[in-house]
Amino acid sequence: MRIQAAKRLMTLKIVYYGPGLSGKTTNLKALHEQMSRETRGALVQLDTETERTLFFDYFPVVLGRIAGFRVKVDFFTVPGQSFYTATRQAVLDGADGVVFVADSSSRREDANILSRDDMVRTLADMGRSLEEVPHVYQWNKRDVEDAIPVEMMRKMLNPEGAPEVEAVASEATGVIETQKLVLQSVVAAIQTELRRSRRA
Amino acid sequence: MHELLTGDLDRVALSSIVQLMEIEGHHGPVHVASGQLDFIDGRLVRARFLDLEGIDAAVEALVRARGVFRVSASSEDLEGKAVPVQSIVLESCRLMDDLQRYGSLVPERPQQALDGTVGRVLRAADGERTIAALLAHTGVPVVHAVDPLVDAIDHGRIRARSSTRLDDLRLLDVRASVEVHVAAEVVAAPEPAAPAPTGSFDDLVFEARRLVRDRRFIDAENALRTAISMRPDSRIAHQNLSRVLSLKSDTAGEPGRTSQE
Amino acid sequence: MSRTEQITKLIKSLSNNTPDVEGAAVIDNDGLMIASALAADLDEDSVGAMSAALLGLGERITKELSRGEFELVMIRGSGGFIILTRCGGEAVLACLAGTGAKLGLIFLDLKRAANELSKLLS
Repeated sequence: MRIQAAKRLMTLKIVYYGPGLSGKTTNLKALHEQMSRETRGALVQLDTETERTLFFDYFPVVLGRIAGFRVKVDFFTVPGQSFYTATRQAVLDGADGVVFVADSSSRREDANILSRDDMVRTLADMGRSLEEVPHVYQWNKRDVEDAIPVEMMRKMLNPEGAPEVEAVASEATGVIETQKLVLQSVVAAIQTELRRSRRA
Repeated sequence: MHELLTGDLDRVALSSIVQLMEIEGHHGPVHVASGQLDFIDGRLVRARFLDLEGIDAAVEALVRARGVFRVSASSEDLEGKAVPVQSIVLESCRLMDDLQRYGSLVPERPQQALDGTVGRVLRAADGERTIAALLAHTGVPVVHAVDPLVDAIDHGRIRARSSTRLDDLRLLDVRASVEVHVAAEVVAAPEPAAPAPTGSFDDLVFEARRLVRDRRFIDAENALRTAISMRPDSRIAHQNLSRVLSLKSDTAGEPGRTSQE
Repeated sequence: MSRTEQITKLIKSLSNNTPDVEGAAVIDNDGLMIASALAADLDEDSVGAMSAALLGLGERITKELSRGEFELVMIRGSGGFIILTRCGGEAVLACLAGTGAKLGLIFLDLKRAANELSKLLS
């Protein structure tokens, strides 16, 4: 979270994490398209050839104000390939919320698990644990033929029982729901934190 | 123009400084050795580094600027298209990651007809230095060299070893966490007198395993025999005892380490 | 509940809850069985000794070939898998699985069980 006191602006950082080609970029593009032109910022993609890094930012109207601050949200995705560790670390650094986009195809089962492990490790390197970062899981590509049952995906990837959404991001199904869910979790966490600090 | 902030880029990363400038809505230049980045109201509008300009200069500076930085305030009005700071920070991280993917370039003869930046880097390749070291040596900008080099390697036009030498990477401040495991030297400490095997069944079995780790097989055997006398039907205790006896006979030729000696 | 009982309960739940896991055991570095949920017809003496031997070899290979810290050894036979993974510095978790086993799921459950076990064993 970044606070710009002079502008009374709070910037939240939401990161879409997941294995390569699980549909993180598709999610952000679909989300960007569905937002009104007045509120969204430019979609910035660093490399369109390979799936590398992508982010865009916008002012969501729904969030209004928290503690008197206007709220802006920056959305990011990380490159899935294993060698982009510094980039993944830079993206995940200071994330207020994470969407883990899992690929439902049974052939990507291990990729999902490895990516989640990597996320936990990257967070740990920065001194954070998954429990303290509001996060949701998106079971993407539910339309593939060899889709792993949701109960199985939950067991493999979401033992902590974080919120989940089923999605087909390529058809923009579940994309908005995912974004709403993660923002709800983030805002709830901030409000809990605010109450705690006021009491302290 | 007056100086607001100064420091050493070995202690604070330039990427942190530029993000701070963005958050603070800074107005004025950030000076580094061989270049400067200009901000208007927190927007990065102009950059110069070595002989590069614009986005390339900003990214290159984030990757390789060293030494002292100075942040000054200025009321000067600058024209220029704002560049999103976040994308520059991420691009510099991405380049550093790509730089790390391969180790040294393998010089091949006859040298392929690769001109321009890639050619310059390749001609300096000696099979030893990493891409990072070659770029530092030739002065070729990272922003110009990394993508063509990685593409050429990926397409098999250049050979590279896939090991990375961390000391070279440090030249470009790539954060690499290296754990060094030093085998602890085992020093034989004087053995304390063996306590009579006491405690619950569980304690005895745990104690026996600890004794085996210390290679005190006779003491371990005694503890396990006591444990078995308490629970003759325990498969675990029987397995442990038979394992201890076999370990004991395996090391029978070696100097024993038991308290009985 | 004693420590041994807790450990036994944990590996029993591993073989009960993870489909395809047919048995599991915790063995210390010297091959001494700490807890076992293996089928009764398996010779626990040799399971212990073989695990210790395999672990030693696996650790040496990992080190010699500069692959960091040893994490796991897997053997595949026509009738299924044997997987050995570290649980703390002093012990190893051995697991037997059937041929059609979902390895991703097993690795994950093993890793979680190994984390729990290393806490119990420390």
